[in-house]
Amino acid sequence: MLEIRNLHASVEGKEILRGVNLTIGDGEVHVLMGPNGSGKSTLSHVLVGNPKFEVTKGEIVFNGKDLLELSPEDRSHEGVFMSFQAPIEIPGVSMTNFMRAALNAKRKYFGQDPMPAAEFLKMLREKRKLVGLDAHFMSRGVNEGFSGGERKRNEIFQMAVLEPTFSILDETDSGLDVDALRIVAEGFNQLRTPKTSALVITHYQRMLDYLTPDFVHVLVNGRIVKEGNASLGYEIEQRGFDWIKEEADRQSL
Amino acid sequence: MSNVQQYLDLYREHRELLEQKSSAPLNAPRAAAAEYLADHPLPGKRNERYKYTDADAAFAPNFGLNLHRALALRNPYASCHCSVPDMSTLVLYVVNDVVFPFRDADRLPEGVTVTTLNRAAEECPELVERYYHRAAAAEPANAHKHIDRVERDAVTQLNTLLVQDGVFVHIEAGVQLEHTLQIVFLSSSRHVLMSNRRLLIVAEEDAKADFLLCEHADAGHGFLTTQVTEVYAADRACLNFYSLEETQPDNARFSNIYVEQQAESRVSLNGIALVTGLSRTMINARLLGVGADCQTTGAVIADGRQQVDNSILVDHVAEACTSDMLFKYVLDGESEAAFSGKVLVRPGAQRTLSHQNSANLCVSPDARVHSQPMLEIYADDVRCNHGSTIGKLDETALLYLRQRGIPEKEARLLLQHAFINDVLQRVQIDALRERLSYLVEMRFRGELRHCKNCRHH
Ligand SMILES: Nc1ncnc2c1ncn2[C@@H]1O[C@H](COP(=O)(O)OP(=O)(O)OP(=O)(O)O)[C@@H](O)[C@H]1O
Ligand SMILES: [Mg+2]
Repeated sequence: MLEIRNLHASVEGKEILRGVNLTIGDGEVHVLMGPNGSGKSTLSHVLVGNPKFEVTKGEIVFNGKDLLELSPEDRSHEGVFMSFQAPIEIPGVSMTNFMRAALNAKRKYFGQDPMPAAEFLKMLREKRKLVGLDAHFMSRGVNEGFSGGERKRNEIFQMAVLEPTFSILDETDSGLDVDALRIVAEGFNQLRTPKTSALVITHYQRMLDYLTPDFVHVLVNGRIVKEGNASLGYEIEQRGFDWIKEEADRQSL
Repeated sequence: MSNVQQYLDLYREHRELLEQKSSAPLNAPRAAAAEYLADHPLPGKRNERYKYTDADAAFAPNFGLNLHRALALRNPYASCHCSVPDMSTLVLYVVNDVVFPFRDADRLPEGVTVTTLNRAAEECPELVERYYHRAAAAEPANAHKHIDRVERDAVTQLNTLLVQDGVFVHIEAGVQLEHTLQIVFLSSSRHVLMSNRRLLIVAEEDAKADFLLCEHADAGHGFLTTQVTEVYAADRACLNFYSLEETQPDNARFSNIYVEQQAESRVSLNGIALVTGLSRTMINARLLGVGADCQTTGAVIADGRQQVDNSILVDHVAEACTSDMLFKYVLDGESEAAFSGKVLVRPGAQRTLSHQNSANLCVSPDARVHSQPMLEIYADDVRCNHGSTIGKLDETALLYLRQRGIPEKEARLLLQHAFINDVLQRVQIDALRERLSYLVEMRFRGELRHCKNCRHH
């Protein structure tokens, strides 16, 4: 599915990612952990093609394609989705219009006609139910006046509508209350197939419980310094990151 | 020498013809206008309210005038269908400065008069004499402060000097106009032409009406129009004006709107500039009766070398009046636009509530915007706030939309349209709001030629 090789990236002239290597296979769920500011969101933004982030070295191959060559919209069509850490408000663009434009752009990319209106509305309704988002959110502006938790639900709702093959969840769990987290995680699990993969960024064990990841990676200072299975995640929850940092320092000496 | 001279010469030379083809109330203030213009050049950048539009330069070319009142080449009823889907309007056409017969007169309710100023001068002379050129000639709002520098508006004076007819609307007390009155202004001629248009709208107590004013121009000739509108809203009258400008890049227009509002009247003026060359709108609204409400709203979409200027003055004379200004500009290319909005709260206008907001989006590095909200307050118990922003398209929002698969061009379009959206939301008539929203979208897509339904043949 995805192969990241020796990725270096900087923002505003400052190098943030300093040689990231990561391989994600079909159907796998990978968790990415790491201290604040270590570059997790930066990696996500590079994956979706945010022009603010400059790739200075390395490559990313996505299903055989050179991902870095693709525009953000084409990456989306090819199946890349990111649930943003801090989804922004876009007043004046209604959720319904937004989703219609997004979905039809994807269909156009694959040479399909726009989805008929009735079918589209029915589909929206089903996907909303999946994450427990009320109908009135659809007529509001994108995230306009949504609470923090509602925004996160809205991200997973959009994921459900667009049916990506590779999803990045950047701290989708933070800001959600206990019940909402369960609903969102269950929704996410329902969307999983043997063909879809995910990179889940989280600071919390609760997410590990729900998602049962195949791998856990730890990003420190722009490099992945430790990898393991789910138990590594639980260990971090217990012991923090210092021991991993020390271990990494010793290795680099 | 000011470019006004050629118009003064023209007036002196053709005074007889000009007055013969016009009516007494229109002829009455001409001499005073001529006198004023002889001493005052047309305004340019040195005049505070014309800081952003050089009127003197715009009036420099030698435009022709239709002094003989020859009918226009085009019969609008045969060649133009200006309509809004799902909206039933009463349509009146004005081609250049000639008002065409009003065919929907029989659909007007009792108590509403829609006619030409000249005919009104015969049929109801007392009304025309009472209101014509009254608000437009009122002491300027700076009179209390700068007695030495009282400046009348020279463009209004020039219009008064040369105007030969116009539209007259009178609504009797308590009468509500169910259908929107649509006035379509067309500029159409084989030669460069100047048109001086005039509108006089008088709404008595509790009267209610909506107006849709559309402005179009044929391509290929430079047109210059001056338009002076006077609106009188008596107690509790409610008037909404929606104006849409879709002319040509070589078109120049100066629209001066004077509003006088009595107690608890509500007037809203909502203007959308879709395509224009040089466009200046000046609004002077005087809130004379307790509890009057005045809303001025505008959207400007400009590109190329278009120039748009909105100069708004809301003068709170009476107590407990409310006013609201909302202007949103999206500027591309090398366009330049200005907003200057002033709220003046006179001594004694306690409990004034006012709000001013000017928000601007420059989508090209060469577009320029001047935004100047101003407050001048001489009362202590008031609540007035104002804000002004100038920015670029939000890159974070753009990425968000693109991440979801919306192509960059489409995403920019959505965001620009969303930016204008709160102006559109002020349009109270659903069908019109949808229509305007569609036209705005077409404009951003660069696919607007004519307003589509208003196909010119
Ligand atoms: N647009 C930007 N301009 C300048 N610096 C930035 C920008 N975006 C990120 N950075 C910097 O890059 C570093 C990595 O940030 P990033 O958001 O990737 O961290 P993170 O691992 O996601 O942290 P957190 O756990 O707090 O979300 C930080 O030092 C941050 O300040
Ligand atoms: Mg982050």
